[in-house]
Amino acid sequence: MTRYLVQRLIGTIPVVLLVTFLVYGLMHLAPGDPASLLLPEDATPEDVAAIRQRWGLDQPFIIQYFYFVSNAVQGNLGRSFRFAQPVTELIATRLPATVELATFAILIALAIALPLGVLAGARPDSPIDNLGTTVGLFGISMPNFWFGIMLILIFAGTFHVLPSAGRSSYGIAGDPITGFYLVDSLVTGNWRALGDGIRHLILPAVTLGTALAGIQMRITRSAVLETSREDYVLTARAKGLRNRVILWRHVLRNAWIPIVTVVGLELGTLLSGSIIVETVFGWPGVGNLLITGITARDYPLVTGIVLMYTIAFVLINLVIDAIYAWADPRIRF
Amino acid sequence: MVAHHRTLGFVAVLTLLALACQPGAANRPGGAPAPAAPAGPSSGAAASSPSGQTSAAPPAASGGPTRVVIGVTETIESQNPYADSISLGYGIWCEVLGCLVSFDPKTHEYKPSLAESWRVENPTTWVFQLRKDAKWHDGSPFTAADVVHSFWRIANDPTSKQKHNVSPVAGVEALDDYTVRVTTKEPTASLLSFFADLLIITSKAQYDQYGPEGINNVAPIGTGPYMFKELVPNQRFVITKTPNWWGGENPGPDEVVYRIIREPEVRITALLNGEIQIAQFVPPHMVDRVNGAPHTKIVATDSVELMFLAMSPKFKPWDNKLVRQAVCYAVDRDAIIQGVLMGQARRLDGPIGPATYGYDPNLQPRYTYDPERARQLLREAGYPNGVDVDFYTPVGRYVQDKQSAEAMAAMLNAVGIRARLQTPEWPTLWADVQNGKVPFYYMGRGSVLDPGPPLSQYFETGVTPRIGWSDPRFDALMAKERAAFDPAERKKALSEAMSYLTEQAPAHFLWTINMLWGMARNIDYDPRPDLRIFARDIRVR
Repeated sequence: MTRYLVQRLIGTIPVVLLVTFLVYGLMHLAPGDPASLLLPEDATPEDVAAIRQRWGLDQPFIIQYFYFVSNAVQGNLGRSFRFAQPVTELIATRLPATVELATFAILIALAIALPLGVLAGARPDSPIDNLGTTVGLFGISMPNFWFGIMLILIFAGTFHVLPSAGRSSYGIAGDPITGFYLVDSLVTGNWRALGDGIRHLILPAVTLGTALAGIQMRITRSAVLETSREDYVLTARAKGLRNRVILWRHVLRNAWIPIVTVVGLELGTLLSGSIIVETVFGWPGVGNLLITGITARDYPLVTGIVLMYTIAFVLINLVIDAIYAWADPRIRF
Repeated sequence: MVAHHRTLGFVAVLTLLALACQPGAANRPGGAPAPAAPAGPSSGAAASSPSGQTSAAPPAASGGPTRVVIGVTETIESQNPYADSISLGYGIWCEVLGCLVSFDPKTHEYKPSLAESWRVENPTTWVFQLRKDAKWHDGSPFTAADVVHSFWRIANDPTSKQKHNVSPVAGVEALDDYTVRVTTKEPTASLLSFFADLLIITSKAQYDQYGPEGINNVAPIGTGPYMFKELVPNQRFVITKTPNWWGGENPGPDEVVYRIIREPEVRITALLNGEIQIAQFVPPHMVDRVNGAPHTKIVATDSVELMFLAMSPKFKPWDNKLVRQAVCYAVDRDAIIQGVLMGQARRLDGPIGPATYGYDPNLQPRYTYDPERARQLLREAGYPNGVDVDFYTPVGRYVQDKQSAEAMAAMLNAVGIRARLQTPEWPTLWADVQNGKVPFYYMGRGSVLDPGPPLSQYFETGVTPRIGWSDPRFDALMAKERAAFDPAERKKALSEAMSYLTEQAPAHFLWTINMLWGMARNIDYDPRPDLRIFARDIRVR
């Protein structure tokens, strides 16, 4: 198992290199000059030329990419054109917000999808199954940005029960410790900040989680349905076990492997989906930063964030594989 | 065991819900209670909100500190005041740190700020007399050394995006502790337009103490009526009143939070929800919603952003003046203002509007909507069967930009200018415009408080290739206005230049779009057309 994991880790290096090369290349190919975009309208052509030289944009693309890679292996992702700060610092300050949102979104997705999926799979063609299918289709089909704005209009604009945007109300949260507002609130015992943080999290997390829940619900239903048709389940029934016992002890224990696989794959969807949700809700995470970087043609920032996403995706899938092996003794690498 | 886990889970969920149901404190600073909201119609009203939020900021009369939260689309991302170049940022930093000179958009006059007076010794030499009573927030005196340092830092700071503000300057020296001499590369009558609410003055002593790297990591001290309090990148910028400010009493709110909310729908919802008290850039189609709510109102102001159609003579058929003039007669600006911009714009009859220095209400010629005249001009230009052109427009950059361009394209098509609408992404379009590659486009030019530099930028020979028009007569008129230091003479020279420009029509000047601000009804604030917000001008009733 260890050898397998090490091999997988080594195998990620060419993947990461290829992804960064593609992203760096596409950014350069895209029309638009970062210097012109970031300088004001009044800037003189000499100012633009000077900035381009300072940022190394007057060098050939391959030279620029070489410098990027050689710095990146030393942990230096360069300096953002837009923010004039190290990219690693920018990502580090924004990452907790994205992780916090993603975690809650996954929890909401699981809270919706698992019970519904299990019940739908256990009682096919029943009203609960139809409800589950409807919820699943709704989650899969509905665009994030539309749903998010609808939630804002309803819960903030009409009923005034939740805030419309942002991560916290001014003047409530204390100084950041970990960057995770909820964790910091718990650690400092600032219950007001904890409540405020949760209130700000609800709408964006529900928006993001609903999209994930749709897919998870469908997979959970299919897994439960398929496992329920196995011979050992029939044997358990013939032995006179109660349905609830059969479901929890036999069906779910075997059905949860594909569910875990889908959750792992969906983490990739989560990363990309969070970009839109963070923009709609003004959530100060990495996704929001990425949009700003793309619009400003901020090559180091965009490449750095994509690099981070790539590594995160690869590592998450590695962890899922490890859980797979732990959960199912038949699987050995 | 299973039941135990379930109970624990249930209790955890209940606790989280209970915490989430605590009232927010969107606009209740320092424990001051929120005022009771007035009764009103239930739709959109925040009066009975269980969160206790209202759109009103706590009134000053309550005796508690006042805080106003302003929803903005972008703000400062760095503690280095020279690292950004946005209108809002200039206003905030000028109010916190101090600026040399200020501009009054109502009277079109330059007002003293940290410079209490100035004189022109000769066409390339200005002398500024500084205030002797101004002090930095740490109590140290403000002197000419700080001004000289600031000029240097704007031009030399590696992260500075404000170098254009000192581009006409050849040299700066302190003649004594309170006198500064500025020499320019050539006669520049509009020099104050480069400095007014733009030239931010920073402390030389603080820079010397922390050095070029460390200075970006410390809160800058200023001389202004407000002090820097907090910057959370991509979330908010907070300023607070300077205690015992040397300039006297500050009637503005005690604290101002500039909160970034980029999506207009979310920003307006935050206003209606009471999370913010002022919202920038209300789209025209949301005006009724804001005005219709009991606690909010719309305040409109003129803009200094000119919207125009650029026609580059480097490309056919725009090398023919008659074709360009045909465009001017083909577009029914009033119809677009009413139909597309919902009446929230002011037609331009000439390059500038009333909010800009040098505005001449009698400027000639004036282009009326006359499609028959447009067709005749096209025939005279040698296009009796019309002409095919590509027409470029940004999307989402300006208010209703694509929609306005679609309407204009239809009007142009009706007179025989068969315009194919192109909608590239903004970075692509802007790069091509700056490189002079776009023959015909709809665009805006912001911050036109003084017309000299922007007109030079777009229309004077060799300055930028954005339009590529070159006319020796116009160049001579612009040189004349730059050297005219007497205000009356300068305005006359500007009128002459603008009249000629309008007649030659390398651009058709369309309208300025009104800036619509949403506000809580207990806020009295007259927004500026240059989008700078000075907190000391805000009143909370």
